[in-house]
Amino acid sequence: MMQPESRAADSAAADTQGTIGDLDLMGRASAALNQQCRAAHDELTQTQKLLSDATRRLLDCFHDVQRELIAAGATQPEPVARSLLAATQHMQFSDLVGQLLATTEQRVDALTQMSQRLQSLVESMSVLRNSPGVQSAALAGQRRAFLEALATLESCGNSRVRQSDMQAGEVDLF
Amino acid sequence: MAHPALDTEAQLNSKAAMNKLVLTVDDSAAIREMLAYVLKSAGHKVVEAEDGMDGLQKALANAFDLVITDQSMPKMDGITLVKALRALPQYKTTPILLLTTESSDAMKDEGRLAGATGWLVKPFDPNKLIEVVQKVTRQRGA
Repeated sequence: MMQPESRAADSAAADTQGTIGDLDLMGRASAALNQQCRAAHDELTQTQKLLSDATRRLLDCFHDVQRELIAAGATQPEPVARSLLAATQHMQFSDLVGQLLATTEQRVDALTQMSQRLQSLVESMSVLRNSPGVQSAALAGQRRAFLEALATLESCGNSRVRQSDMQAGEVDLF
Repeated sequence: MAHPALDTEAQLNSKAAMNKLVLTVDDSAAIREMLAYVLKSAGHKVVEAEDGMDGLQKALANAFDLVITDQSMPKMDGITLVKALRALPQYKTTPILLLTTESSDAMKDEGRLAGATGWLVKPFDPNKLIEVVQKVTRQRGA
């Protein structure tokens, strides 16, 4: 099976010889973009599920330890209790990471939609090129749909999560 | 139930402000459970709500001494919940803390104008949270 690097090299070589038309190139690029966006979406969904499952199990383990600690009475070493309390800060990162993933998922979904519309637009342009007599109304519709998807992609905002380390957030009393 | 092994300096200092009834509102189970653990270990009672609408319904059914709410949630966000609570006579002066990933000044101003008592950015430091809870419940005489 041909490796992606090899395919890319072949494409580049073919392009320098002028054997690939602009529309064919755009069609191939949009199809590849769409395929990769779908793969990224699936990987993000898988990541979300793994994060969610792991968090649930960690929370259950946390509560198990807490119950053991209470059952054992005051003989439990204080460092254990302090570690449990410190864990409450670190466990919150599952929520923060989940929010970051959700933002990335929205961005990838917008990219997927845009690449699909681009693919459809290029296909319509190809049909029009090969059959000049065909009405261009379909092409106008595809162009409009593509521009809408592009606007959605451009409006994707940044994540609200700004944390880049394990520090606690600030407190501001009004 | 408070346990001696779980007491930190801040928790010991909070004994005077024990047994407050706290409503925590967040769509993240991890945040709700961590909040409940920290608050209960400091001697408080906790009721959890999964979103702003759930929080408002529970606030109407109980008389909470403190509300800690997330901002971004399904059904009703935190700032809308703050406004809804402040419109109720029984929650006019109750401390309401927003606990959120949002840290922009614009959002904080929006929270302050809505009537929030304070703004905490996630993740919260458990000891700092207990100090803040003690301070705001004491200040407002909750």
